[in-house]
Amino acid sequence: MLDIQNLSVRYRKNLALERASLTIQPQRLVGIIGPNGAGKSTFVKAILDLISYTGTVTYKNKPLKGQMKQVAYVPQRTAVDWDYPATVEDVVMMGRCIHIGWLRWASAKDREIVRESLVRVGMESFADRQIGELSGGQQQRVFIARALAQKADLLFFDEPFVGVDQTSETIIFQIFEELRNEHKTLLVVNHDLGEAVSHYDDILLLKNRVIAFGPRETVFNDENLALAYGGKLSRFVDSDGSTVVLS
Amino acid sequence: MDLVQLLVDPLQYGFMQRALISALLVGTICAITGSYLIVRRLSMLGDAVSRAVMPGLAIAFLLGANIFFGAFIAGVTATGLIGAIHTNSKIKEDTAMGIVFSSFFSLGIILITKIQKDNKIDLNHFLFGNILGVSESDLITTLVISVIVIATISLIYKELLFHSFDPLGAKSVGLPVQALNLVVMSLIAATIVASMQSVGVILVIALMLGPGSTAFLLTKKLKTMMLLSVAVGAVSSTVGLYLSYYLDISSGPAVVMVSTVFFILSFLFSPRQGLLTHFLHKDQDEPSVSGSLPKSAYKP
Repeated sequence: MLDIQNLSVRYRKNLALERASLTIQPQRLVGIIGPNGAGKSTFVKAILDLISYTGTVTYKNKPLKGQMKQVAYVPQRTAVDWDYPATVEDVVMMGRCIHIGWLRWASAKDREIVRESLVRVGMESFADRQIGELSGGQQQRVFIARALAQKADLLFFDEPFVGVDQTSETIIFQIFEELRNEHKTLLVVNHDLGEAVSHYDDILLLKNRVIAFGPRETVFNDENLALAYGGKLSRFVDSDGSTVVLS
Repeated sequence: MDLVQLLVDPLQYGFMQRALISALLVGTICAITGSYLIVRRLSMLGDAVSRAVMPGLAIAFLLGANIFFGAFIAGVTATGLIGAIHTNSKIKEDTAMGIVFSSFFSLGIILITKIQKDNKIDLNHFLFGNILGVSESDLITTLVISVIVIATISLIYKELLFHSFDPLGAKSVGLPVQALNLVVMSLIAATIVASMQSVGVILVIALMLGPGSTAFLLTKKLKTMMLLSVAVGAVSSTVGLYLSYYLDISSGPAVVMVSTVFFILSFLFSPRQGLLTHFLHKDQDEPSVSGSLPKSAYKP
């Protein structure tokens, strides 16, 4: 259970996030939705203590700050230098860094975990590739493998579907759902309001404050969307019954 | 005169032996810390720190303290000041660097020109290096710094790799990113201080970036980049030193020009990135994976 109380973030004079309070139950796949500049990434970064904030964040009734081993974070694609001299294997091994510990080297077991993680995302044959030589979807899968190698319970993804093709998106959602079924909690920042939304168990609708949070069926309605996006949306029901929203 | 003689001949002089050892050490550590500058896009900061060490060594000289230590303190202080200016104002980092390094550099020149009137100390030696004048105690200082730099990087390599590749990810798992930053900055300052005597503060940045960028174009792992970079740095230093001996040219610039030749070769002929490699393979049916798509396809 991830409990967030009165989480506020200020950039200079602007309030990027105002007193967000919510409790995320374990084993949920949570979509964090909202327009540009709604504070979605800010929300995640504040929880992870990557930026300064006020409020409290507890996980299993203890401050999250002391349990960072439980947390895996996949940053936005634009935050990564894809020309960096690192192979796919190097990146996934970073997930083991904190487990290996200071002044120690990776053991055979760590290498095995790295290999297993790559197999799970279907990237084992790319282990020796430089990360810049992959497609956007493959790069994202490598970062997911890193999160898997970390053996974390609480996983955060910042815009994982930007620059990702449809096939990779389907694979990534499959992995997300598998992880959820393995008792992990996933928080996914998702700018896109398309068909993807139907994959989430819970939706957190943000616009610099919590507009709504709860199971997708109760939160994802015209009224809430209008509050977040200011009525600039059209909503369609697809032939297969899923809802499609265009902003 | 045959090749062996050509190489061995200069080494009959003690100053040439010391110069060669010093050049090899400096070439090695510049290549290693320079690799971090390149992958973290901190090249400009490296340049700034290299000029900023000047007032530190002058003040240390006046106080009768170790000039290497003084230079190190000044380098680290300058880094701190640059950070303080850009986090506490609208001023961006590049401008902050320009302000801090030019002020430090100017202060350093004023102090050293004052001192050199009454003492046997030469501003030019600090600016451009004087590898043939390396004394035994200078050599020991360089050796100690080299050992510290290499040992530190070997011991915390995996943390530095994670931190330099993905600072946010590293912070999110609880790595002490501030401390790691300080370590990298200290190693860079230490490398500059160790290189002062042989290449001088003006050119040390070239010795940090040249071998590193040569290797960057040829490798896909940081570790291999560093090792190749060390090889290029060591060869450049040695060849540059001999050129300087036989052609009677300044050693610092000679070393830098040799490393530039390596960079140009790598830039033109790197198997994966080379400018000419691309043209040479154009006619073939199956170009390499990295060459087959426009580079922009990988970028968000």
